Amino acid sequence: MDLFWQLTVTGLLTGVVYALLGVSWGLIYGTTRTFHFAHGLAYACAAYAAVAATQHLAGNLVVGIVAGVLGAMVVGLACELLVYAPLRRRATLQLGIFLASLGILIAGQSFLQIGFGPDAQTLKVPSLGIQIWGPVAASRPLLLSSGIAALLVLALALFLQRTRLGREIRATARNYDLAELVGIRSPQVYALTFAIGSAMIGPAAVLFALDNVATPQMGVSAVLYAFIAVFLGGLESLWGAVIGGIALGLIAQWSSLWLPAYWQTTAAFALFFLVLVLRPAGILGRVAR
Amino acid sequence: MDYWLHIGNLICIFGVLAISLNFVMGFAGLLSLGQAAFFGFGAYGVAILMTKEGWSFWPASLVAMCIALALGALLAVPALRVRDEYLIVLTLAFQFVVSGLLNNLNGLTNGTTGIYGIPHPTILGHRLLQPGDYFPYSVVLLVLVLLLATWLSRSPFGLALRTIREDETAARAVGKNILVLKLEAFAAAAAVAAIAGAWYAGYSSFISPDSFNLDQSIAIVAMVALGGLGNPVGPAVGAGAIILLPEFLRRLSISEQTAAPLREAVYGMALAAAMAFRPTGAIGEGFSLRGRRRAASAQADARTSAPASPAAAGPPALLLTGQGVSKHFGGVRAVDRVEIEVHPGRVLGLVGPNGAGKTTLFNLLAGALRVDEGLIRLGEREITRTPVHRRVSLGVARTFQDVRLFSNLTALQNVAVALPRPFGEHMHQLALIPAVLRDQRARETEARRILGAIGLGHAADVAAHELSYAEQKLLSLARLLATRARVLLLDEPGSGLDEHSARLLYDEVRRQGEAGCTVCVVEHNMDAILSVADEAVFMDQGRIVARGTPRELIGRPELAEIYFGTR
Repeated sequence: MDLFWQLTVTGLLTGVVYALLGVSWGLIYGTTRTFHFAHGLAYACAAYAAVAATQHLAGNLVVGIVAGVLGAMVVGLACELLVYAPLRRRATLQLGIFLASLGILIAGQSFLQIGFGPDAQTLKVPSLGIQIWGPVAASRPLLLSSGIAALLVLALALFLQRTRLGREIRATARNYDLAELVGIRSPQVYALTFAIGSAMIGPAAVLFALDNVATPQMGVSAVLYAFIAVFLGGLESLWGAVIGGIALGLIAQWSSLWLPAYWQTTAAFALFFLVLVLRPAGILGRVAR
Repeated sequence: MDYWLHIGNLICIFGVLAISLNFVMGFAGLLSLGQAAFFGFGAYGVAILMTKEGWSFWPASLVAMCIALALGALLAVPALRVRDEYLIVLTLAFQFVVSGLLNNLNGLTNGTTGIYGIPHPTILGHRLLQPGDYFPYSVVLLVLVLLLATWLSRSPFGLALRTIREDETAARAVGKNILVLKLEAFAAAAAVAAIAGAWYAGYSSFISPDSFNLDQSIAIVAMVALGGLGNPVGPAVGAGAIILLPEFLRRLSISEQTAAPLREAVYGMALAAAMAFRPTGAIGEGFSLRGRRRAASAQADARTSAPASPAAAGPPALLLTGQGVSKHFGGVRAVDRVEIEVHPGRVLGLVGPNGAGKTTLFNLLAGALRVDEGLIRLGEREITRTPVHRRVSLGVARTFQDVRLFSNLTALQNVAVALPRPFGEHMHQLALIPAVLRDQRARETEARRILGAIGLGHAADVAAHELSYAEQKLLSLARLLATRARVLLLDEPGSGLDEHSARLLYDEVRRQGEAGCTVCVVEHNMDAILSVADEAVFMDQGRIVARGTPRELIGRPELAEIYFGTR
């Protein structure tokens, strides 16, 4: 029973982080219809920015997180302004934009590897240790990451509901041309969406690197978890991605009740595959058109 | 020397692999991030059967190929229902499941260690050992697959796949069975990838899951995208470039440690840049090893033939009826218990204000929407649940208000692809090359005749998107007539046209009616209805509120009030 609770706690905590990844990717996809595979690059660059900042500026976690947020935001914005926006102006098809995004991810990862070397990097800040409640334990970086993620998702939801800019983003997501017609400057809204969506994942990437290590390829699994969260929950709403992310976290952890731990990822993907086949609109989504 | 022969073998193997992905990615426009998984099925199938079961190479690769073929077809089934972005994540998930199985099914695949000591294959009694022994056969394999790809791309099968890439809805509307076509494309791609995998396993005699993971799938996608989408030769060129890249970098005396990521950086950036500057890849789709197709001479033939009616005489048209047809959207009854009969040899106009349900009724008759209640019959046969492509082969076809041509195909191809019962549209027919070619020539001649008769003979070899809007509308009518349907459903054929072009088009529609076709026209323009329709039904709020000749309807003031909204 202790094992079950331990798995549930870890599952919930990782699930909230997956939810953040999903929400941020879903925000970008939903608003701009860009299949932003390079979101994974923003994630990896956030971790490496933190590695560099804590090495050269100060061995302080806050410095690391700030550097991570900035790093992710710069990469996300650069993708939009330097690649996607010009491609859209050339009326490139969805497939082309996706391939370009894939190209950015591959190239960016390789530059990280050339710049920092192929070895995993560790964050040079004091360890946060482990939090223990009776029979259950959780690493403090994960706990912190999960807390920040929950706050960020709530803040985003409020921002989208309550502020003018947020409503502009939602309007653009609904209908690009109409939004432009009523005076919303869509290219700026796109850039803003990329900036927000990318910056959001900075803390998660930095705290992941603190809990584990940073590698050039770390972004790939992050962006895959984001896909699963979004497509499990359905593309329509932010809360779909939240539920998808938490479900993914719990299922991946619970699977080790019956399966050896190394089957965890495969089990998650097999389940995801089945959901896509059986309910292409996601668990919550309405039936596809 | 052996080293370069080794590189040569790899280029051939990956060339075959990239060509296989092009069947789905280039021809049908379906991106798959799971091609390395099928490559892996071939390699592991051979490795397991040879090392654990003691099979010899050839039967083992045959079995591995068949397994991949079946799985490829299976993967296509969910892929049918989903849109672009779903297909990406679906194939991605598939790739990860397969990678996971290869890594973790220790008993079968030896897990991460991989399988060692796969026996080398034997050809004509001698065992292949050195790269040099393999090289001639690798080249033969590549050439064979290249020929296959060339044949597929020029065949009716390839043309049908391209209609899916261009516009799935329109592909259905010219009678294409999309499920079967996608299934065949995925199965063919999987089988060829498995052949590459089998040859790779025999050649390298050691395989591990790393060769069949997502990175590999992405590399294959890059080979196709860089080399040339939809072109038979392009992917092989892309494969060559990506495999030779590290060799080239080594010349620049870059350390081994940097060379590997640098190679990925270069092709990653090339991929992003290619999408901006050359989205079709290095080698365009039209490129062929044998030069441009002969076009001019055949065009001359078409001009001389008499411009008779575009449609050949066919069986008599049938009565199309809807009985008590209803369709709801949410709480709105868009079409409410409508009774309608469309008679052979007559042109029926469907008129009414915006939002009256005309287009919904039209889509119900064409099969684009499913009715909630009621029956639709063609003659005696009930077709209420018959899918669009089956209705087309029964003789009910439609046009679209926004034309929906296959814009990157020529006018001729647009028409030829719609002609019924093409021979060679399915894989099993493609082996009979002469018969397919004969049928294809006949179809091209027929398509030219139709184009000539409708006044587009001069534009036969022009891509559809380069035509003027009026020409596009005419072409969409020609495409409709090519289906040989006897019940023609036309959605605002005259909208957006100048008076002269509209008249040309309506004259043609009239001729179809006089030739015995059953014609139903949705139209906003009352003048057009007056000139073209024998009878008309007036719809308002989902119901038919009046029937009669167009002149009678126009004479009724209460209808004019509804129409102009002065109620």
